[in-house]
Amino acid sequence: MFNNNLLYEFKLLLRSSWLLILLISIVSLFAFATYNGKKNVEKRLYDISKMQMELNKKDSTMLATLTKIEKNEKVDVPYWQLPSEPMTIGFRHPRLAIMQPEALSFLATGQSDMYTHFKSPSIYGNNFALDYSEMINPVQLLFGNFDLAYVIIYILPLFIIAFTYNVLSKEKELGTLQLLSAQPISIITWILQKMAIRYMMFIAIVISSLLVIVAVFSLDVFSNPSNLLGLLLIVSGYVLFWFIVSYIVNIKINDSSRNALTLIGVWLMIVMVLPATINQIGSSLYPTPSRLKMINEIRLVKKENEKKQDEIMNSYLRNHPELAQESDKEKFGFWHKYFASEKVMEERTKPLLSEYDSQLQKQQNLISTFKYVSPAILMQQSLNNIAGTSEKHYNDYKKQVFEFSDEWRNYLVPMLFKGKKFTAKDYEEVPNFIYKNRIMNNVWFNILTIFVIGGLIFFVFAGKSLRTPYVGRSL
Amino acid sequence: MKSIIFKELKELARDGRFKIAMSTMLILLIVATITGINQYQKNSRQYVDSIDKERNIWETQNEKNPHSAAHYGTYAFKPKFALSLFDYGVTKYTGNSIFLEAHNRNEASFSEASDQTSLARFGTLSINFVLLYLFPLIIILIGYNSYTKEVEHQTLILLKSQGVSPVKLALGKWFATFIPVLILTTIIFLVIGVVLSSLEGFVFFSWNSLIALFVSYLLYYLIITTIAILVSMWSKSSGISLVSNLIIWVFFSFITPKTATNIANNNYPYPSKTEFNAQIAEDRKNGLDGHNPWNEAAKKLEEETLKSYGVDSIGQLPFNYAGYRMQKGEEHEAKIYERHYDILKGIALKQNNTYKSLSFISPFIPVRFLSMDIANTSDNLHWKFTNAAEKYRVEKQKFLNYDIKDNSKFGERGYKMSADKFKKLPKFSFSPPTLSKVLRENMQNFLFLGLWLVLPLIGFIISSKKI
Repeated sequence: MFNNNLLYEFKLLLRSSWLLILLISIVSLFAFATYNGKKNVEKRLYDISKMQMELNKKDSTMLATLTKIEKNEKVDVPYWQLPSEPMTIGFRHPRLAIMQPEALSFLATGQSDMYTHFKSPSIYGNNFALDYSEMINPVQLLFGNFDLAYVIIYILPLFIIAFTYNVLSKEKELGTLQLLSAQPISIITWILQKMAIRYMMFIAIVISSLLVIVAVFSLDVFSNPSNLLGLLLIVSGYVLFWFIVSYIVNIKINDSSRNALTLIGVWLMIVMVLPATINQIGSSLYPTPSRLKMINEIRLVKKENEKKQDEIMNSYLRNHPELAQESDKEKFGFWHKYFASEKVMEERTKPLLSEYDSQLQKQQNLISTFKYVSPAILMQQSLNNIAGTSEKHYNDYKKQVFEFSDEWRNYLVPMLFKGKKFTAKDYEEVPNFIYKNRIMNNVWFNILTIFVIGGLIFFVFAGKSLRTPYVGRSL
Repeated sequence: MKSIIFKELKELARDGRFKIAMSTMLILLIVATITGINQYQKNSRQYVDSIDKERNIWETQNEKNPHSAAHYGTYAFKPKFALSLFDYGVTKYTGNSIFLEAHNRNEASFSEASDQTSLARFGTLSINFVLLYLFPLIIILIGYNSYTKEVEHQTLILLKSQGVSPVKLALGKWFATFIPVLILTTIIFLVIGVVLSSLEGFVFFSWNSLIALFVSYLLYYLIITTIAILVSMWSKSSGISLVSNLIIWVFFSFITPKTATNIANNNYPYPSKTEFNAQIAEDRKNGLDGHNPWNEAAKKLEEETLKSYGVDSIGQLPFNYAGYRMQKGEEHEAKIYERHYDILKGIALKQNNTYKSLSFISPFIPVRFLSMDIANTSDNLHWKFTNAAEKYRVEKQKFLNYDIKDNSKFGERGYKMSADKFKKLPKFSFSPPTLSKVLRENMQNFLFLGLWLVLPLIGFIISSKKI
């Protein structure tokens, strides 16, 4: 019977040109979305390469000057900008801390449009309070991008709905259901088989289109097969979830027009209303700690500490350390005082900022538990994780830059206090930043979750129908 | 026609699906309003509190050198406007505070979205979320089968045989679909108006702005009504009509705006913040540096000043030249910033025009822009706020630098401004543009909405005759 069903289903879909429409639509949507995603990644890489070129240019000038200094040749650089001074290197020639995109970054824009992907932490200044936001037209953030994640989360379910909403009701409306009932197969087994066949066809189209398009746009993806497999599995899980929802609606309501309306209602709930409502209620119940309050508190601390800082160093030099025109003898004293005065401020403001960050972390963790309420949220987080564009990735990048700024300072300050000059040879050994993706992407756990959610819904709403061979109230 | 309208409305009132959809919508609106009011009041309190605290910190400074005070800086906070409760616009994506200090024009920092998880990118349940995204679905729900059901029940032939004018029939269906939406929208806007005008702490609320919003949304609903019935007229079955209407809705509200984002980004990319700052630094390098008397531009200013006062050395000037140079340097730097920000604004405008030019394939875009502009939550308003803050920053520097210029002596080291003078610095205030200005700036959006209303309506009348 299964073979009959399979053959009939194939013939039916081919003749109605449904499969062709589906294939063309999915391929073109995937291609357009991948193209957009790739363009975003290209812009990111272009910005990075521009910065890198700028740094290389600056570095080669600096190296040329250093070589001249080492050969005791005359240089036309003011003495407070001499690269042989470790402090000049630390302030004027900081290293670039670059966050390179992942192979699958084009999959989901995630938070990548809001944050910068390069930072140059200098030897002095508030490296723990750097601003990581990127310049962007807020209208772009409001409307969002048309990327693969969007097509998968929002549009694929609509195709599934259109593909399956009348699997059973159509038979009823055509009057062929009675004929079917006379066959040696229960209606439930029949519709389950039919749905399973359609699921397999659908998923075959989705996965093969995805693989082909990804191969056309980015071969790198195949270098990380486990991530790619994770992506394919989670998409299969999400598609299965929607097939299960459609199956339930098919057997419970069994009227084409009502089926379609109900499924659209469920779609609206899951991809739009629930996430927006959770977002609104969540941020009302667990608000992010107030940035304005934090500003006020930091300002107050700064005001209280000014006097203390003034005792260590004059405020003018504190604001413009690069203008300090000290002799070699005084240099040690100047920088010693400078770091001491900065430390006074850092010691007081850092706990405030850390407290803010930990509060924010708690709030974000709390909000992320809501992902289980809607598979759309779960999908969004999983795709962002696979793409390396989630808020966790950016938080960790900030952490890595801060760690690097310490490394940078610890490399140069001892040179200063030992009275050592910076040389062309030292340049070879300066610490460099390498971004590491340290975030566990939990994709396997999320895949399991989405299959479990689908399974649970199936057994809760359709479990009974497996035992009783009757379908829908209107049969 | 009256009887057609009456019959349709009666049918609708009996329709369970309509009742379920309406109650869901109302629950969402109530949740959006309550949480919105809470958040608004909390943010508003924080805003007032921050202004007071910041001013207090500024005014209670000890005597100090004015330039140190300029580095110490102040903050400009963006006020909350009453209608931001209705439409959050881009407020979540723009910062609400700008640090105003010497030498640098800073960006508004700490946007709400950058502190939130990616969940925020799904959108937020606000009143306009329901009205802009979900309400059109109610219209589709009412109108998708207005013609197809007559075909399916085979009543269209009956109607025709009774000699009903096809245009009257079409208009009857059109009114019957729109009247419930009109009644509901009017009630919702009235309630919002009453709530906003009666609650305390809602600043800049005006009924006129709310009416302008009401009209904009109604225009959009009229467009959707016409399209929904037109699709129903053209469809063979209710199912096809429903699916086609939904495809149109997804296309209008999601696909077009998102595609516009990608087109705008590809054609008019923003520079990265680092690149933008590097360009400014490059321009500043060769310009007037208020701190560096040996800088070429500074030397030129010195010569000019000496010449205009007819003296030989800066010591002979009737004021302290150091303060004067500092202010001129500040103004020069402000001009450089202005030039670069103008370029940036030019890119932003081109990007926004990309969205607006796609208005001809989606009436959602003009109404989206109109809504946030009238509610004072648009990027347009944010530009106005940042420009006002920058103007204030330059004025503030002048206040401080001219204190050096007028009250300290030439070559005097360690000059300090007295503590009570800090109180004399005028406060920063920002008022939103008037409604008529906002409407004038949005003529293009109104024009698009008008076209969207008229053209399908003509098609609607013509098609109705062919049924």
